[in-house]
Amino acid sequence: MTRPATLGEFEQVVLLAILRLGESAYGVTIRSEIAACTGREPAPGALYTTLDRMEDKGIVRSWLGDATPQRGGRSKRYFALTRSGHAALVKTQRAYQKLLDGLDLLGEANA
Amino acid sequence: MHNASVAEWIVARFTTRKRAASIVGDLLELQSQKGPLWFWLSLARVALALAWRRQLASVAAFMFGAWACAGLQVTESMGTGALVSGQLPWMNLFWTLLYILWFVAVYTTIRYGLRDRVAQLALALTLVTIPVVRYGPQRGILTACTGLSLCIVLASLLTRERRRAALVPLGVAVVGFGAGMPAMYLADQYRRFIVPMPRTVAEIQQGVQAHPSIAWMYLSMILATVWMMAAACSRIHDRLMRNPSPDSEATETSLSRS
Repeated sequence: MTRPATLGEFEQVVLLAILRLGESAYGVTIRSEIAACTGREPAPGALYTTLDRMEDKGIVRSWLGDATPQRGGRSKRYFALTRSGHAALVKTQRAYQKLLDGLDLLGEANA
Repeated sequence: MHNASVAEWIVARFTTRKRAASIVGDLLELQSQKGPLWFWLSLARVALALAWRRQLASVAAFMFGAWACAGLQVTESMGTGALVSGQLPWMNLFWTLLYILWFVAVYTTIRYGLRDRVAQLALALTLVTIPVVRYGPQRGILTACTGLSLCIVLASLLTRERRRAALVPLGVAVVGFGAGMPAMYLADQYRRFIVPMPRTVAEIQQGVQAHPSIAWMYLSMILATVWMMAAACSRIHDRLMRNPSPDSEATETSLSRS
């Protein structure tokens, strides 16, 4: 049994965006989802290198989908989390949750 | 469309063809909203982000690759005679292997980061060899460093991922010797052709200074060897260390089907 990979902050953001998008997670939608949720547009270079790195580590998997004329006949590359990617994300989010327990940080921000 | 093909060709220099096509497709999809200037600026940023680690790693590791070539040159020039007399230049081979190890450590640390297993292994072995370099090959230091190195190598055999990581420096060493020895042999032959029969180191240096083409010949052979070592390191690493999880095999299948 291999240990779940450790995740950086941007990696977590990208993984959560992929989870939110479900079946329709590819470069353009992931970018706009991150922008909509965080208010910051990720640099295209950072997004693609992060996706490639996570695929090489086995955190996400990708497959080629449909090509549209708008894309010059090029296929979309869809992404989904692998089992180990899911486990790594759960582990990291649990750690955050433990740190937040007993703090009314979100309530203070909303007040 | 022609511009998109050019863009795809540029990105494909730094990643696989399929990944390049999907990246350019994404940028083209957004180009209608954001304009051609945004498209080319984004493309430049993507290319830079994909390339900088590899280029910086190659440049930074070049020095160690060049030192390894110098070691190979001495081994090659002594090689034939040493084989006949049964006295192989062991210390020279040791230094050459050491420089190749340092090459792998620097290259993989910059290219793949400190979390990478190959970088961790190469750095651990490099740290162990530093006392030998600092204090010379004294018996006590050599014994301690050899013992520690053996412990690290044995520890690297414990898991499948670490065993695979250990194969990368080994593969680079094989390529380094396999490519470096003929390259240095060719450079030596060229020097002997221009300045025949030098015997001492001073005479060799004089020969190199006598004609600038000799220095250029050595430099080009060193560059070719270092390039081959970097390419070997990168390819062996990618082949052995990519996609460790079982369900990521589906990725390759789905990509190859399309």
